[in-house]
Amino acid sequence: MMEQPAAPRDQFEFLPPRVSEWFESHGWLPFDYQVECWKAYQSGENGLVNAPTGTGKTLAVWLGPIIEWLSSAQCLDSNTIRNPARRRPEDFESSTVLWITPLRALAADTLHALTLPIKEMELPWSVEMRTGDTSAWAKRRQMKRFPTALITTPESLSLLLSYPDTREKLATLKCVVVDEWHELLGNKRGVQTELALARLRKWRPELRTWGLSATISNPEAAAATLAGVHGSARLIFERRAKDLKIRTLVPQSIDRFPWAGHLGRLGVPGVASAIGEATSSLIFTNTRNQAEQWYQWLTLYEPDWEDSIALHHGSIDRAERERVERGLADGELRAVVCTSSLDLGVDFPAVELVIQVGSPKGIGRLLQRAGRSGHHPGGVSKIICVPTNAFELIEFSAARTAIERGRIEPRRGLTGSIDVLLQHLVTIALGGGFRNDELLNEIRSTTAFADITEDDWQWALSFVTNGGSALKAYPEYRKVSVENGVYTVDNELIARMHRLSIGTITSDSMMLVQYVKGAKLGQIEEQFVARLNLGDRFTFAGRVLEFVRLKDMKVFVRRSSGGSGTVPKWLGGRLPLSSQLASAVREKLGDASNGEFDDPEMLSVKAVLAVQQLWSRIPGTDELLIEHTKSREGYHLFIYPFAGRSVHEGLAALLAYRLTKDHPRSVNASVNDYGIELLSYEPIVVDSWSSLFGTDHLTDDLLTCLNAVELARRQFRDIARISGLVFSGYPGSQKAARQIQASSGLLYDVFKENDPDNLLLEQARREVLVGQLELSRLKTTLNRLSEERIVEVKTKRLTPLAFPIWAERIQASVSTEKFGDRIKKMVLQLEKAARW
Amino acid sequence: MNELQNETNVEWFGELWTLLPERAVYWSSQKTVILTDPHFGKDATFRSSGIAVPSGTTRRDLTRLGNVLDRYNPTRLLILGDFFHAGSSKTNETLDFLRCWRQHYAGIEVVNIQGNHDKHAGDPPADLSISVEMESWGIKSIRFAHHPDTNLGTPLVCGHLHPAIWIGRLRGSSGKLPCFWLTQQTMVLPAFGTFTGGARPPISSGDRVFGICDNEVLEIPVLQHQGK
Repeated sequence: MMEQPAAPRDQFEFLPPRVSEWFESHGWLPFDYQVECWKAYQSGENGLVNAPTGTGKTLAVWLGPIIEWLSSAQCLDSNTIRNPARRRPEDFESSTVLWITPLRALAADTLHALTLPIKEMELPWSVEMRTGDTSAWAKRRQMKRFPTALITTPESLSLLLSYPDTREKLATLKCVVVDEWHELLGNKRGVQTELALARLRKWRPELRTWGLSATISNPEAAAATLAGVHGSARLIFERRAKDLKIRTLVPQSIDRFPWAGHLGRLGVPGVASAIGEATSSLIFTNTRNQAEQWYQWLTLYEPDWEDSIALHHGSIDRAERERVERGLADGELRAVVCTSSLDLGVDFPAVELVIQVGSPKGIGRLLQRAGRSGHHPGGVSKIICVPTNAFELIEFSAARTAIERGRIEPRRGLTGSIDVLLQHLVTIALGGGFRNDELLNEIRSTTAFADITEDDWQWALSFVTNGGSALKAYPEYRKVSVENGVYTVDNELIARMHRLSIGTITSDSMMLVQYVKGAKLGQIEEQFVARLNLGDRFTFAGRVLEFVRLKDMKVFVRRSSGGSGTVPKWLGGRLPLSSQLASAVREKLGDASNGEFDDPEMLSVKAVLAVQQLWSRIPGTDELLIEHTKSREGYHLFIYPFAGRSVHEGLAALLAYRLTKDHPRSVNASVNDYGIELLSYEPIVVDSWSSLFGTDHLTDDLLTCLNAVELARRQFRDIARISGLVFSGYPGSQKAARQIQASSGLLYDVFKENDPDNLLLEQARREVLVGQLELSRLKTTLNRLSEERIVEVKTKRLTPLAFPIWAERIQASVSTEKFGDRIKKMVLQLEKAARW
Repeated sequence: MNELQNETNVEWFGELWTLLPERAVYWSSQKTVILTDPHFGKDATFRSSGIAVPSGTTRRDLTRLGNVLDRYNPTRLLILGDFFHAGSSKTNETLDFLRCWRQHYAGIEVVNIQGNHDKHAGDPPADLSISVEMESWGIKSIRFAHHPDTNLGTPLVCGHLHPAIWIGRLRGSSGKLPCFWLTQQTMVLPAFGTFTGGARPPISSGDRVFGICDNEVLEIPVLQHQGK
């Protein structure tokens, strides 16, 4: 692992002999950045380590506390250490390190990584895990005798905080490590982690916080969030990049009129031959649907591989996923087709090659996925990109250039997550209680709640104590009670319910898929099941299944003989293009408009762009291209802001609304990552583009034109679960809880009707605007558009840029068979025109 | 007052039934309003378990019921069970709303046919003067019960299932509508309580489904939501 060049020897003379001996015994030398970490730790600093995977990040933080302990008086008598019989537990086994990992699947791997140096240095430390998978028995034992280091998840840590004696168990805690901090930043689990860190710091003011992060573009902000408002964290970088090879599988022939997903199958032979050459490969797809499809295609193409290729995605049963992960770790599997389910997690040293099917939609994501290969000493990360349509070639080219220039997406922490705060209030009330002012100060020490207003705080308190706003108290409500200024939970049932529902990870309403005979296959979204009729066939977990019956939230199936089934479309399958990648794509197109095609990907799409240039125009970097097209369907207006799907959705609705506000007419809007189509039966005349793109009344206009209520209602699912409004029941005894079960949608309606000022409703609206519609990106986009030079072109027919947007609209509105027909017809027409 | 609501009349077993957007049925020949599954006080049950649901649903449901009673001036109100949601629903607030409503409509005979929730929650208190029937109950050739029972052999009006259908799945703008579900033998009414969930019933061809959309009762063609 540790290779030259590294720190000169005298730089680590401060290391205790046992540590330097350990390094020597492996023939390793510590890296500069590791030495920097250890020194900073000894001097009491917090830190955030930015380093690619496979560069010794774990040791960089883990050895800090070990070095400190070895240098302290506690272990001067080395005999004591070497002779276990003379150990007194109170001398050594006091809690020292808390290691937070975002994935419980990662915990076992971390345990292994942390235990190795402990064993080899013969330290009397104990390292244990505590996650959702840990047995109740093991948890009780841990509370009797706390391990020196505990590996846990944000949820399990929160759960720990709900027990009053945890504070005492952590009385000697010196360091808390947050692994993969970039993964937690920006979501509610990150907020939950911030709150837990604030609590730990309150208990142990001298506690040091260390984070580990992959490369992001705003490490300063990530470090500040990690350390909290009153602290700071030193940024430490491993600058020596791991070798990375990015190659694109350029198809031999390119369709000039590409639409999402259609090139896919053509890539199968190329992918199969790449898999054949590598010892072990990971094939990343963006959706579970695509993963299922690629698994089928590959096993059809190479039937011999059926036993050595596996499928891994979030809906597949956990036992099966673990089996696949073990197969990868042992090097037994030739390839695994997966989704973001394997973005994080256990390292698989056998993986030599990563294949990315379809655009990664983000630069950081491509980098992270590439890093899953070559995970061993001196390893090289190799990734092959497989386009599923011609424009993805541009995205691959743009992503590679962006990586070379170090332009990666930032990660920002969330603010205003009242739901997480409500959950935390009950957790802390359970874990020994709190006083109003003290807890407010503690909460305000997190970045997430630094600016919480007194009003919102009071509202949150009253929500957990009397069930409503301060004006209205319900006598029958009981959750948190206040006595002499101390907020506690004194009801055993409430305590149990709360502990069972701690956690913030969203889970859509999922149903278990199970064979009639009993074997479980995995989970599937309720919405997909709702559309199935008895006897329908569908593909799941790599098998064609027949729907037999639905009972007790379980989908019973049997294996179907022959034929193929529809592949379930899971929700949220579509990642929007990140702003960084979107602007990189604009630059590539800008180069192309100047006739510059400087890499294989761009050369291969030259023919497509040539048609674009001939019929319309390739937009330059400072141009906004607008195409007017008339067809039998009506008048189309294609606008290309290149701002990504989620921004375009908001923008399209806004433009349609503004265009029809004064001239009532029907305008149909559709989008993709590059542009927007507005379709109307009458010509669309725009008097002033600048007022159409103006940011005045933006929020109001958006709320009016979008089905904001429906969007917020859906957003509420997550919020209701986190804030404890939806209780999913006791394990094994669901019946007891049935009386207090209601869907989040129903609760949303009840709140809206009877308590419209509830802050949780406000949060749902805000999450829709900020999170889903990316209001700030939308504003930035509008500002940019109003500054760009507008180039309006009349085109006779759909251009290569317009065609995919059109195809997507057709796909959303007609059945699968009809879709294929219409697309084929349109392509024939366009191809004929392009040949002239 | 008595503004024309977009109700829908259906003929079923030789009788005329008026399906009301207030989630109830008016049977004009018997001057009877029928509803099911009000689950009164469900909000209070949630609160007593530490789930901060605002109150208001019971009061609003009773106001809505009052509108129906004012409009048709029936002699009888027939409730097909699940009067209270649970024992903990019977808070002072819930009971006060109910007493106030009952006094206002003291002239109407009210019958509740016991449903599964009533067995745990208990019958309405005596001062509400609501008579309670244990099993099914008949008027003319029509039976009324809480649970659907296809083996009865006679036409049956019932509740319990909280039937609802989903419409408009494309482009995410889906909506769930409470519905009346009429089969050869049974008429299943939507749950009256607004704080109740709904489930898609097993519709077969030949059935008729009437969805409630805002203030309208609309017949929904069965094939449309049968297919994929």
